[in-house]
Amino acid sequence: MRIDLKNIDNLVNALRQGRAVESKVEDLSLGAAMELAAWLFDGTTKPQNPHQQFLANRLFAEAWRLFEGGRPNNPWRPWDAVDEAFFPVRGADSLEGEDWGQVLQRLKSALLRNGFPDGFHKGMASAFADMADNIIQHSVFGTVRELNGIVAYQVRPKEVSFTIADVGIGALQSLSSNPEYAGLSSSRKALDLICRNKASRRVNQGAGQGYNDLFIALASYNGLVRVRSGDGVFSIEGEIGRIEPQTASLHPTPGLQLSVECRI
Amino acid sequence: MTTHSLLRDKNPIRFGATRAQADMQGVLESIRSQPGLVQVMLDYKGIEAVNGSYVRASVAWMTRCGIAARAGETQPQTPSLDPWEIRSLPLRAVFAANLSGEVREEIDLYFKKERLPCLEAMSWKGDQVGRVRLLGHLDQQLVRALDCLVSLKKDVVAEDLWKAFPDDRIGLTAWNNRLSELYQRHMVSRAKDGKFWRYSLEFKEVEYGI
Repeated sequence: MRIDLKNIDNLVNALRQGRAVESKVEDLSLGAAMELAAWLFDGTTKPQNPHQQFLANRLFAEAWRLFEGGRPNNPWRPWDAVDEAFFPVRGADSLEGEDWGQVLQRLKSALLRNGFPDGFHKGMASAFADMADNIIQHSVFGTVRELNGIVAYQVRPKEVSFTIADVGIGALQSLSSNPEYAGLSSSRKALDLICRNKASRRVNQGAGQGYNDLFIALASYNGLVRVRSGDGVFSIEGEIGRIEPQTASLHPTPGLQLSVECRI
Repeated sequence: MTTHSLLRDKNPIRFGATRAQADMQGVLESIRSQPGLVQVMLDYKGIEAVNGSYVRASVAWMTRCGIAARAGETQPQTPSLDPWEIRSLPLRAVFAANLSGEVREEIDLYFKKERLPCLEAMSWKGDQVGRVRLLGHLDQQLVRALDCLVSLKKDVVAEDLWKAFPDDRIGLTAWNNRLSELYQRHMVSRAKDGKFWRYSLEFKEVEYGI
């Protein structure tokens, strides 16, 4: 069975209930692999060694290794396959240097090579870069961590997915640092306020980015946008004639993971 | 005037708040090293494109710090975890300069969305700014008040405008309020003159929009 963003919750629920389902998992999409790795890394109900089977999956193994702090040197090499990349974010400098520029440049090239129109490739790279920046701006606010997060993309003919994942403080703690939202108690509500109502931890700096419009634009490419943090999930699924943001409560997960999938 | 160049490397594309904050490093120290009110020019020379996050963390951040000071906001007793929180800064004026077309559009868009005005310096000599372009948002009656102020070519108290523009049919109190609003939005400076406020411009001419 292939696990993607639409059925990852079923897999995690089965694991939480102790059901031995990992042998049935044949494949993981990028977003599903990242969410699973983040949940297993610091989950409050972490199962005993459930990930050995998943480590056979290359995407999961890469995400897991990075979350575990593996490979002390930058594991992303500019000469790696250009249609996908895993890039660890270790402080603000990570998103300043030549390597990061290469990631963005190669994402744009991969999109053009895989049938995406001119213009789309720039917009997608810009959205990817802006959301990656949020790892620095929000995930480790007031805390110190060796790894801030992971960003990754995968491009296939007329398909693109990217994930921005961290195991930092999460949406609820970040937003609650703004006195206006100090009484907030649920990650679901925090995600709703951030994604839909442009709430931000920043005080007196106007609205946050919100991303509702951007998410809807991305989802409109037969796509799916999903944001997970704590016990909350915010998702937009692009179906013809219906693009409706939704929030729900789920099993808790650390930090925040944002996944986007688009098809043309 | 403190002129701060934002471009720190060869990359003309500047996206994200983190990059903006890196580019803004040093500007606070520069402001604090000077006595009195400081005129700041943020120089975007060499930058071809920015996004909203970059604008928010560069010129909009500086503008909001200046506005906070004029609103009389005081610093919290406990230091914030956020090194880029809005704090009161003693600024006389904030200008953005050397804007590419794309950068100008992004700044205009951001400030319109936030209903704030932004001054782009178009010409200057030394510390004296000549022509500016008003980007972002300014209420129509404040645009009119700014025009009146520019046309008089001198520092004014509200009574000067009231006497010079009777056709506007607004009272002395309304002129006072409009000048005060322009001051709060960092469009003009002011100093106490007896029991009145005397308002002055930090530029000579203004044009509107893009």
